[in-house]
Amino acid sequence: MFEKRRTHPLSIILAPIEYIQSQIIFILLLFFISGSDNKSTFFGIVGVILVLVLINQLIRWITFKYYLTEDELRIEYGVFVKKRTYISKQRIQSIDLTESLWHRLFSLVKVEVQTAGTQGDSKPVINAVSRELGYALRAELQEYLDNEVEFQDDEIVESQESTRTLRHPEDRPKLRISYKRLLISGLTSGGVGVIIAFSIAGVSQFEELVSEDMYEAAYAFFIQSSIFGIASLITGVLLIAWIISVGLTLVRYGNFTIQKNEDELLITYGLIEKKHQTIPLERIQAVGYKQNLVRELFGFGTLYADVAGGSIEDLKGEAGTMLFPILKTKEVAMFLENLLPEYKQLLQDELHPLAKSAWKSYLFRAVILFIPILGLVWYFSRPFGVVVLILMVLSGLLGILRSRSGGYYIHKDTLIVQHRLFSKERIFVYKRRIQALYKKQNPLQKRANLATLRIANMSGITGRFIQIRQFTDKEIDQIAAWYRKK
Amino acid sequence: MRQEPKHRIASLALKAWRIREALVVLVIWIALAVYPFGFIYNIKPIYFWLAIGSLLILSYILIFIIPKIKWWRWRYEIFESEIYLQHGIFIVTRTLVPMARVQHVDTKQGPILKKFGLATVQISTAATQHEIPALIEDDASDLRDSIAELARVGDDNV
Repeated sequence: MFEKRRTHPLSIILAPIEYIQSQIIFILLLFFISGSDNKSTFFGIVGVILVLVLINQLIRWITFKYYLTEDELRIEYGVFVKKRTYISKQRIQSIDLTESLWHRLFSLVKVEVQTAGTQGDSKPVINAVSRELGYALRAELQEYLDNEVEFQDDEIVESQESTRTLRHPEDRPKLRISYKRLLISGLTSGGVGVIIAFSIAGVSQFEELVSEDMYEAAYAFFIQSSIFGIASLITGVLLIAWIISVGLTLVRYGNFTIQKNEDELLITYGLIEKKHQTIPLERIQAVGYKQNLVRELFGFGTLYADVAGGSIEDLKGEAGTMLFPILKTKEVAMFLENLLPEYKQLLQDELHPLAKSAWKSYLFRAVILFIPILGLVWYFSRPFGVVVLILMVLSGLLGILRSRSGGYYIHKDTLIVQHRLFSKERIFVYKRRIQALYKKQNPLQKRANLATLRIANMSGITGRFIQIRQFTDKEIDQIAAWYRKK
Repeated sequence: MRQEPKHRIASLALKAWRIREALVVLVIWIALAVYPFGFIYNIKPIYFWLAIGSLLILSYILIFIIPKIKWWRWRYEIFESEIYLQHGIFIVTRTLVPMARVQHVDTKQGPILKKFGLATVQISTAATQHEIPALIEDDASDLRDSIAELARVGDDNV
């Protein structure tokens, strides 16, 4: 049904446009750095690169062909060196469809095929096909997966069951984010800090654009204005950053929908750039619930999963693949019950806390670095010293909070661990998903019969390590014994 | 994880490590002697000799003490269904790697290890890398083969 095809002709310009979009900051930077004398050189270089890229894309488009055979997806391209990629349908883990803003203008989608072994550049990508074709392609490959499941089931009853669910997609558990929730998610996302950091970095890049006069004016303003003036200025900046961060969340995660299919989760999200992602259940390595301080206060958090394989950037936040941007803590059990019943115990058990004396070491680590800084700053400027002192106290409090957040719980072949850096994070993992377990002990810990637990699991194409300090020696030995037991 | 793993690595490892460290230290000394630090020759003799003295002590620690502790600490044990390792100088790390998680095992040797007839066994899981450094060549390849064998038995998903 799928004969040899080229991608949509627009893919010739789509890829360069997307590339420019992703590198826009760098290009602008070059533009400003090049100074006024070198503008023609700048445009010359950019022009030449652009022409080369377009020629390259044109050749790629002419030679790039994809088609489906009985049991393979085949992709071939190249002029002198013909590169042929044949992917057995059985090997395909998932098919992701992405629509960037540009794709949506022309009703196109990008098709990315994920197999167990593909990573980085070698990942088969079909840059742009019409939306109908993309969905048809996915349906074709997906159907194969479903057939496979049916084929393996010997019992007729089961196979009927699965055909039934296939026919009634609306029966499958599905969850869509409401706008109110999305708004809460944006308001509590903590993206403010990121935006401010980015703007400071951005402004410092454009230093040469800012004239001496502006510096002086700004300086004069700071000197003359009252504390109140400065405070309201800072509040204003924070407010703007906050609003931007809310806007970004709305655009990025708008219409976030998660749906369970037979043996995979389908995730769709994005207002401008639309993404469709499939997560095969068997590739989920761990499920986690993360709450930053604000969300914790209001009883909210983010649910994510560590998924083996796949590409690095997909839905990748600070940790794992997002399963839902924001949930109430008490909704988590229900959510998991419906979508990932194997993980429904995530929040339901009381954890064994860290050793009683753990707070001392957490406090020590949280403040030790501040002490020399405080000494130095205090010596030069009392007011700034006070600021540093306040930061030190806050950091110390955070340290104590960390020591109280740590814990673990073992039930049958599952392990729950909890820890905090800034956000509190609880992770649920099956024994067979833990790749290695470590116990670390420095001389001080040894004297106090304490140790550090570290576990490694898969996330994306690399490992992810979870490290929790100051369990008692004995507890870690018990966890290790549990880990060794078949 | 209460008990230490049983086996030590080859005693020749200590020699190999000392030679490697000695080479590193030698490079540092040469770099410091050749690079014309103006101030090195202008400072008071007492400081000059103090600097030389502390460098000597540092060299001694690097060449003699640290490899010794490292060797003393390094232990390994292979069970039917897991690999158990211990290493570390100040922070002692004990590691458990289930055979079922092992994806591949290699042996490797650099020029110094080769000179001593030693080899390192490298064990990889999907997410982590582990090493048993400096075993006698034959032991290393036996170990590699038996780990590969045991890992195959306990085969299952990721």
